[in-house]
Amino acid sequence: MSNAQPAAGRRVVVTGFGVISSIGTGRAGFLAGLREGRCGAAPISGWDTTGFAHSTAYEVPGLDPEKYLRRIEPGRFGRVGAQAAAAARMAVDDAGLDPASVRDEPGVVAVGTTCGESLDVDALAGVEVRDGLDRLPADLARRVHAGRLSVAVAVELGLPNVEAVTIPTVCAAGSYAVGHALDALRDGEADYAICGGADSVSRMAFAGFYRLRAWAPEKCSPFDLDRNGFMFGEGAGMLVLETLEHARRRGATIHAEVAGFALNCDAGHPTRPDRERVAQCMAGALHDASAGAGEVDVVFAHGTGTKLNDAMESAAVRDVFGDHPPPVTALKAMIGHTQGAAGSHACIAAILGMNHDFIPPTVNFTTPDPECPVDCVPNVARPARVRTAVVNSLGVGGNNAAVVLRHAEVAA
Amino acid sequence: MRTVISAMSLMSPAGIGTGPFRAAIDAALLAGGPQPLGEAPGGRVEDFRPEESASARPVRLADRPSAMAIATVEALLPDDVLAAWPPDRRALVLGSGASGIDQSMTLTRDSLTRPRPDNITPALVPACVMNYASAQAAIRFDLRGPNATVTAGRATGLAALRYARRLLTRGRADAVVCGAYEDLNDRRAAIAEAAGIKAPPAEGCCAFLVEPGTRARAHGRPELAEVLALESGVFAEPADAGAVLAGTVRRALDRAGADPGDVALLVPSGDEDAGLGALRDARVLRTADLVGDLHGAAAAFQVATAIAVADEAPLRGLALITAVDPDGQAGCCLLHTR
Repeated sequence: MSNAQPAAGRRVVVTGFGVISSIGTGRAGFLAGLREGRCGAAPISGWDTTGFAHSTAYEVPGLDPEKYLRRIEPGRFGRVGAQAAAAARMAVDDAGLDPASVRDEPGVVAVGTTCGESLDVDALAGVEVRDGLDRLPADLARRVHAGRLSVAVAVELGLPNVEAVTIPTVCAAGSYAVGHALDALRDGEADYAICGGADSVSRMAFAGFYRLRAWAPEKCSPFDLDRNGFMFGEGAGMLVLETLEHARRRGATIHAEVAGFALNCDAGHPTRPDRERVAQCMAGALHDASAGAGEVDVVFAHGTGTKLNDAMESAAVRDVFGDHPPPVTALKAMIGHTQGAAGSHACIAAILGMNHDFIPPTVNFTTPDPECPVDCVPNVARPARVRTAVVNSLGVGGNNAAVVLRHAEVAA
Repeated sequence: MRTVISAMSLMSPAGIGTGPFRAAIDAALLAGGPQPLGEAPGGRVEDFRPEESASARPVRLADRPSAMAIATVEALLPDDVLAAWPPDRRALVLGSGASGIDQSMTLTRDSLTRPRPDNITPALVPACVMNYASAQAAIRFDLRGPNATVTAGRATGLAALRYARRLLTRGRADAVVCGAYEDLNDRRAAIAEAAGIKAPPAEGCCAFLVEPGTRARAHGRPELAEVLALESGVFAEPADAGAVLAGTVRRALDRAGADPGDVALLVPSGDEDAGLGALRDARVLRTADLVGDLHGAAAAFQVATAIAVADEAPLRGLALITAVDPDGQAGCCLLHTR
């Protein structure tokens, strides 16, 4: 087991979150989307897709993230940084936390991402093609680096004393950010954290994965016999974490406890995930949470909708949970693969499920696959009492992470 | 737990290895101090030609930054270090400021200019994201423990050290390979110029073995430096950078129980030391003046600078590394070098 030390240190809870996704933005919008089992896939509208035989993604086309921002002036950050900042603003509002009140306390801002300010990178390439590399505009050049995502959050919230880090551990990055914040709070290095992830849908990513035939033509269908790839989604998911003591002191509503976390690396094949390592990671997170596999009510799978991932993950779930695993749901059918935000989107969905007694469904499901022998909660949200949830994340290259969340009543 | 740096490897425009880097520092010290900003050499690690590598494990990767990272980590990890270290307790934290942007722009350019928009180079796809080097290094050296990639502009090296220290204090790994890299390419230089960065761009990679002091001693490794404090902040406007940085320095000194007058060596990322008046007695070494703008590798090289000069008594002891990036990151690291 890669993370053999048991959990110790201070307890850490979630007191707020903010969401931008293709099925709904904000707490109420995302909750409604999850309950209704919406699917956010639609023709790409962010850029010209002429020449591609198919071009669908889970964008958030009507969204202007800047309308949620109070401190950042328009255009200073790219769309991805603005989304991270907007979701962070929603999260502190949801937490009833005035950032000015924690300005002098040690804090962490951690933002996961896969492609960073990918739309600005695309735009710079467009200028290079059109006008040449010596004509790059200053505004794009100044805002293109991924390290700015965490800066955007700190600037929007007016937090100068934070450890601000961007974690580009690709598609596991949202969970990495939550785990990094958890460790900082447990350790006493910080009292609160704003953590999660953000990404968009760029030409670069689409052209690349289209070419590799990894991008699903119409929609993402995890665990289905006829699943045919992943599909990137746009959005951000940010959470407010506090030590239990900090949350109690200010009388905050506790939505859930972050009970455990683990991360490891396949160190094997760069694109074929390793079932054994993925199972060890989930088991490591349960150990970190001092939780037994039998306590888990639902697994939020990475569930990308590729042949390889979903079969591997189904097997890994059975390795950890035995022949009768809890329901295993895959949000990516609804919101797409939101990349660096995927892990934080799943954490937020799990918390909403806990607090509203349901499991979000795996939509777009038609035909069971014997290679995926799990109950994926097909198509319709299921009423359920959720007390413990596991969020599983994988990043290409072999980066695995798992988060264990517990219902607020156990933190009470 | 005491967190120490017990081994170091690097490649810089001065050459491959700490020797040429140290020689560049010596030359600057002999010349009566570093040159003013803007006159540093910059440039590539000319000696590093992965395509011609004679190494037993030739570097064949899709991109130069990952090849640089792999070669530097390889130099850090002799067989005896790996032999005594279970694979699932081996952690890696790597960072850069801009890796993947060059590859991404190539891919987008090809999509925009070729007859078909999907006529891109598939082998380039994994190198478009920033964890490519971390993943490749894990595969190469069987690093199955925590594997993280971080980015925080010119403070990236400090963010990586902080991540590494946290993995150790939480018991998630026995030791951590921690480093930062940045390659030099035309697009990076053009982006820096358009953004108004004055220092000439340079490339480099620097890696440290970070572990508890007790473990270093048990394995007979020297304590090159103890990491006493890592603090960071964010400024919204350039005018606020000095105050935010001064706050991080104050917190770092408090945490270490040190006075400003105790600091023997100050290694700033630029000219931010002008605002740190209480440290006026410290000797100042500007890594950027020696090698140019290393972007995401800059802070790691500042740490390396402090370690490299510690064989000279007046420069040994408390060393403060400060980093300020125009994107808004400010941070510092207080080391005790030996």
